[in-house]
Amino acid sequence: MDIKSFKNSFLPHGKKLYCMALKIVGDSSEAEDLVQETFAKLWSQCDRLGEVSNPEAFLVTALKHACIDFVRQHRESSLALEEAGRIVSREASVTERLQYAEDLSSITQLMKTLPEQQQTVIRLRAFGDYTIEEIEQATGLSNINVRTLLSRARKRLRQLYRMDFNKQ
Amino acid sequence: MKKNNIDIEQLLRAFYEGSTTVAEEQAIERYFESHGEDVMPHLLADKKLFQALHRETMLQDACPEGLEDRLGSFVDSLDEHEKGETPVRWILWARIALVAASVLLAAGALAVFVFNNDMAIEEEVNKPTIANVHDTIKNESQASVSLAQTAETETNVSNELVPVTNAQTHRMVARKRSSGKPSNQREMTEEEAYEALQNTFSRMSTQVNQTSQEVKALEQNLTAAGNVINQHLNSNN
Repeated sequence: MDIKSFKNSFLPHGKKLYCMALKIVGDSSEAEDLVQETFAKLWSQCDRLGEVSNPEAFLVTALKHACIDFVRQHRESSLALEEAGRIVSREASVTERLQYAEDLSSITQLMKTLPEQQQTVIRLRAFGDYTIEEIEQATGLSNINVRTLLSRARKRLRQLYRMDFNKQ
Repeated sequence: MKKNNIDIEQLLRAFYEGSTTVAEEQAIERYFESHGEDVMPHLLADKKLFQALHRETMLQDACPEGLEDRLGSFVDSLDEHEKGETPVRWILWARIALVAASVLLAAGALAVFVFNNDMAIEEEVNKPTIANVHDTIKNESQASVSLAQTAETETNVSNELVPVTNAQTHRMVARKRSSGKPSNQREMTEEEAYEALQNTFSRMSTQVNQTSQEVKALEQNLTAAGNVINQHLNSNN
């Protein structure tokens, strides 16, 4: 695969990758670096890329791997409202966009209050759609540990959300 | 509708137990999307939380300005830098130089110690003051302590460099691959290259650690030697 066909196949998915990376890592420049790293990695495997039937799925998998190292090293990231607003679709109504950006930003703030391992697990699962097996590989935790951490994190967030919800 | 409610509540229970699959979570997402404001009141908080965590449809086309251009230029640069020197090589050599420097410093310290020791013996014959000998020993000891610290710092730097080289390894392998090798020759995979690199770094870290320990041992010897000389001088006096 030459650089031209590589660009044609993969570059159109850059935005989606960026949005996904931003939700996982919570920082726009880090997200962009991770997308670049993903492209660099795929280009390094360009000999094999002729056989890729679904470039988007291929990229998402590669990005997941790139994000794992980052999440391991930086566990306390959150998404600022401004950045959350940028990644919400322009097709939605203004009210919807604003509401969703607020929800996204506040959920990442709440996540920061969780213990480290719970944060890692829920971030990978919620924002990166990692399977339990992928999280096992990423964190070195056992299947049961991953599920327990995920359960605790979700229940804790529900508790915080309900408190918040009842106030409104 | 009732069936859907039963399903959604079961799915949500499983969700909070951490036992839903990605496909089941997508089903929950679809349910909340399609029901809009109609969800049962006791599920409203769940809906809000779930959508904040999992909703994909709202995240589509908005990105920072110039992102596509920057990514495009980056991909072009992957092609352009094919034949250039790889950064990872530079880092490798820098690290070899660091280890070599620490070994040389340790050797230098040893030489200084031996030389000064001879001097100290000579000075002892010439009846030096106790203060002079004390100062010599103190200086040597301080020098070896700082050498040990340098070696430790180098080890830390080495450890920090390992993850940094990850992306660089990818690029290095990318360039290697595209330089056109005979197809019947098996190329090193990226994982193998990275593993080999990490092994090298690990070995180098071990060497630095050994040097650090040697310097510490040297320091202990110096102190012991100092004590012997001190006792000797005291008994002479």
